[in-house]
Amino acid sequence: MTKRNLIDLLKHRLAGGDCPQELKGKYHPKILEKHIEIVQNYLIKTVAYREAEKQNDWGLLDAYTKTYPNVAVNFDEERNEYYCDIPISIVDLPQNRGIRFISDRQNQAVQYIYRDNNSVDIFSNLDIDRVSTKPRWYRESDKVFFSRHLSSLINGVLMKLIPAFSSLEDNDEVSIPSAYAKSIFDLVFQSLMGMPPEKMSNDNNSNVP
Amino acid sequence: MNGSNQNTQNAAYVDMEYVASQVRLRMNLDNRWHEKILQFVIDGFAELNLNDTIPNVTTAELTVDSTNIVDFPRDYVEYISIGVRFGGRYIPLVLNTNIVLPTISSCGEIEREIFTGTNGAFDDKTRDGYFNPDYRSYTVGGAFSDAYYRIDHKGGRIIFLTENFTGLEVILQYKSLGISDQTCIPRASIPALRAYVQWTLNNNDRTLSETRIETSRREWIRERNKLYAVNHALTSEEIMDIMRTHTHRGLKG
Repeated sequence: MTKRNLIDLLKHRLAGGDCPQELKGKYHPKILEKHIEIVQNYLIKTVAYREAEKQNDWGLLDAYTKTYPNVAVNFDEERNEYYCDIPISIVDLPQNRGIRFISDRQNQAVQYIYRDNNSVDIFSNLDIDRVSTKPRWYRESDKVFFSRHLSSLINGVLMKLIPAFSSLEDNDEVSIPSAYAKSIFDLVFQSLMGMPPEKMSNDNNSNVP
Repeated sequence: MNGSNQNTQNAAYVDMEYVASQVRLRMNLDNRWHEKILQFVIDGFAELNLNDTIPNVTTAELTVDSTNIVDFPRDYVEYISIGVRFGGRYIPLVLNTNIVLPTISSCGEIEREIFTGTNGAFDDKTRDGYFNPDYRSYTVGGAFSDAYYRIDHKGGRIIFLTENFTGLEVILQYKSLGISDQTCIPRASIPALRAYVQWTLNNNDRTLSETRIETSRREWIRERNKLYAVNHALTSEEIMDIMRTHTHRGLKG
């Protein structure tokens, strides 16, 4: 199911059928998109991520992953570090697993190594820092910084990310953990509970329905 | 080591990345663990080298500085022989524990003296016109007796007692820790390294039972001993020598 299909389906459900009476109405697609994003993040974290962790099978997150083959690498002169902007908003998972993979653009065999943001000090004191020349990366908010091992000749990297729902294109496929397709509607309804009712008048007065 | 993926396939020797990848594959660990696992592999390999499970002898050519001192290589554990190349031959130098080590002044700054001269009283046949009773010809030894050295373990360097050694290449044969970006690991040692990493991880996992941790510790020791036995196995000639040690030919009458 594409993102457009999912929003349309939800709009259809909210317009009638078994939808709770207090939720029935018309919502702007952007509002629905944000509510679906909250629910999808929740499902990825509590269902897909936990299952992957439990089974030690991180391939379970593959279905939610999208590849960005050329993300530009920039140089931060103040910090003397190479970095790149994370091109989209991603699902935040433990150990930054929303960023699944970073490598050279055309050589996935050289996967960059993940580091915790504040562990540079530890690893730079150990043998590993000079034994392995693979670039390391760590995340800082919406940026990814690289270690000194990244060659200055690299101007772009390949990234595999788990995009947040709002970052998907209209025609992108939306993955929902199996058997949770029905739940996504229930959870969106829950999320919509307490929303101000649809305004019927055009008087810019919030006290008037 | 970035190109290791191609170089290590089907090779008798592999690199650290190869071992770390194999451990991750066996234990089903993803990339988030790679740096930690690689450091554990390095620790395990250093451990195997330190206790001589993997014999690792390396040769380095070191340049003597203006104060007749050379620093140890980073991976130095213990020296085997120190010498110079002379006329196409390797000439070992002589250990002299009477050489005074350089003093260390405040804040670790080393006050370097220039060490020159000879072995003093022992080298002169006569003293004040009389025979020198301290003279011992056998103190000269079989090696190159015009230059002596002393190991300064604390300072991590070798001090030479001689003249005109500045800029000379000294050949140091030493037991190495074996850790560098060029390190080659024999495939036979992979099971031991894998067991070491497994034990290290289990040892720090508070969710595991004592039995499980102990099992992995024993597995590590067993693999280490197996590797030691492989690397120190006697050759057939050595075995025959041992068998014949007590065999003597009788007198024929």
